[in-house]
Amino acid sequence: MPKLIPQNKLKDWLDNLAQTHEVWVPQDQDGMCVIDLYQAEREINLESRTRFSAKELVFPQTERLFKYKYEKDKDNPEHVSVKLQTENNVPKRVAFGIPPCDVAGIEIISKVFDDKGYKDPYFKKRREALSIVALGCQHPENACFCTTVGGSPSKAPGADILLTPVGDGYAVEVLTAKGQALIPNDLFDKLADVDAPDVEKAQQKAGKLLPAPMVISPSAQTAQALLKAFASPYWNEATAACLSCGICTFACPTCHCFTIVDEKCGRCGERMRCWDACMFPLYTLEASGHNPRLAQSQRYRNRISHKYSYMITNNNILGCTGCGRCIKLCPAGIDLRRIVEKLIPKSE
Amino acid sequence: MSKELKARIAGILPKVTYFIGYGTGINTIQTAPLFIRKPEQVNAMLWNRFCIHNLAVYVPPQKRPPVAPDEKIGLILKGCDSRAVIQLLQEGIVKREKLYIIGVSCPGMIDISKLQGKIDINRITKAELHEQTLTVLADKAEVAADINDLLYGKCLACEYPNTLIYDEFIGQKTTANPRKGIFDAVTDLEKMSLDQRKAFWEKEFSRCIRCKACRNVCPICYCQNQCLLDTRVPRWTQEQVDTKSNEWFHLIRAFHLAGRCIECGECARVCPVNIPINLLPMKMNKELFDIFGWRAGTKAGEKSPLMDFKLEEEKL
Repeated sequence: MPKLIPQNKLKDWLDNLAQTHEVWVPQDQDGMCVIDLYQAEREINLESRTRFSAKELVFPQTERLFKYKYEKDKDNPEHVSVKLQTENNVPKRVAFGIPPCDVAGIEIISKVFDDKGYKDPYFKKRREALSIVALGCQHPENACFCTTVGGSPSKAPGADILLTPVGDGYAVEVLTAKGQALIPNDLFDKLADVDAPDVEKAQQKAGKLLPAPMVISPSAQTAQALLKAFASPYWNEATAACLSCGICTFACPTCHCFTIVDEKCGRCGERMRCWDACMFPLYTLEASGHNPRLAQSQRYRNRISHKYSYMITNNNILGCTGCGRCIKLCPAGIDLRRIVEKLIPKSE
Repeated sequence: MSKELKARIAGILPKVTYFIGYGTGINTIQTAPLFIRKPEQVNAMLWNRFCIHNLAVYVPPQKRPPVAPDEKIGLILKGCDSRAVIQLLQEGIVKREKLYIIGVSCPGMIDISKLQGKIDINRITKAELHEQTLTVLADKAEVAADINDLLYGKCLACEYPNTLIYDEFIGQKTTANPRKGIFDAVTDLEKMSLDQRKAFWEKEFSRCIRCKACRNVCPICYCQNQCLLDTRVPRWTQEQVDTKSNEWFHLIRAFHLAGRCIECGECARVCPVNIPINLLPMKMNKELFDIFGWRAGTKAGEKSPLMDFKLEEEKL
């Protein structure tokens, strides 16, 4: 039976977790809510949506892959060897209080970085070291549409523990063995139980907060719809205002494109993997000087088509969690929902 | 939007490939740039107290959907935004006859982020503007505020409420009534010691994610692929995102905007991590104002002192 942890006991739990893990939790900072390292003296904020998603915990914006150093052989100066040094230390982490859409985001990029075909060691290491304590969402924002893309504000598949706000506390549902390891018995033994039907009721109530005018499924029809619209003039109309900045991609919980660069200074250097964005014109610039996606409408089309078509074909999933960050933060006010609604026929 | 304005835009449409104005945003108190091509679309156009976007960003041809060489575009510009057109004309980026500009007088735009803290501006269910009072219902909490307390910082310091360059002006012109100085925020920064300023900017730059929205939303930044902050050969900036590379990015940009920034503040508005990044080019502007009395984009036909040369400069 799930336990009910009152608001005022959360800190005890977090303090306990912080002894063995890096705990990342939403908190206010510089006028926004961000996911940051838990510090006992700082207030946490489980009410607001974090400005960016939690993907940074498994796929950091800048990842140092290794350091390298060229060394000359003193006796044979023509012979140069390279020494590599990798950084293996990935701390054990807990993402605490992240919403279901962010958990879904991590699940989606796992399909890219850790699937049958390809396993990215850097991602895998971070994902395995991460435990997720998700928090059911009680307050959808204006830009939210998780239910449209098959998500739920109150269920978080992929999380290790799910918290559901019930009364003045949170029902704690342990979903995995990894989650069980995050439960300090001496604290939880003293907590009251909460009836499973009560939790279910609270979750159903939350689910109704976000009406879905249409539901998009990761079906072949959806994938086809966007392929059919590939040459549609609608793209020009819908994306005329797009400024080709990277806000939507960087804020997106599922965008996962990167570039690899060497930063070299003398004989030493570092190889780094940094987020890239298909909205940047340079993303597709070829060595010849040709750019197959020169117009911003082509770039925007790629971003939407990747999420609503190519990922269905490649991974059998929709590549969008409906978190709405790209809508909320777009400097040109472009609303992805309008475009998707226009191009994808309603499924029953 | 007034009937007169709608009628005029509809009248202009046959002369232009598209007209850029404001349409509905994600809620009733946000707007978004809207491109229209057909007369019936005029009904979707808005002109209200929430039209903050600087549409002059779409004036450089490389930053908007292409038009045929003999075609022109139409757009509505606020006073502050119109300064960009004057600057772009001076830089030879666009030809005057390729633009049809509707001039308006702007009463100041409302910054709903000033309501944050009182209500959650991302969960607005209802909003009403009645005379000077904005009432917003969000997530079951209601707040009513005087719009004079909600104006954007740049509007409080507005010196140019009327469009400076236009083909036709709709409505009555108003006189400027700035309630604070445009350089006040820069002056405050200047009062800090060097160490304090360094700490201030390092903290701000540490948050930057280099989405480049500040650059892309800037009407004066039009280098696109050729921007030196993007070129990979030679590489002037580092790809990784950390305080030092971010600082490099923003300082280079500020220097490139010296005497060109038209103070629309869009860079700071769109920043997804709340960096008051407009303060850097504003500082350059203040220097140019103090030395040369120069304000970019305020006088058609005049050349920036940094693009001109005099044998004797009075203040140098």
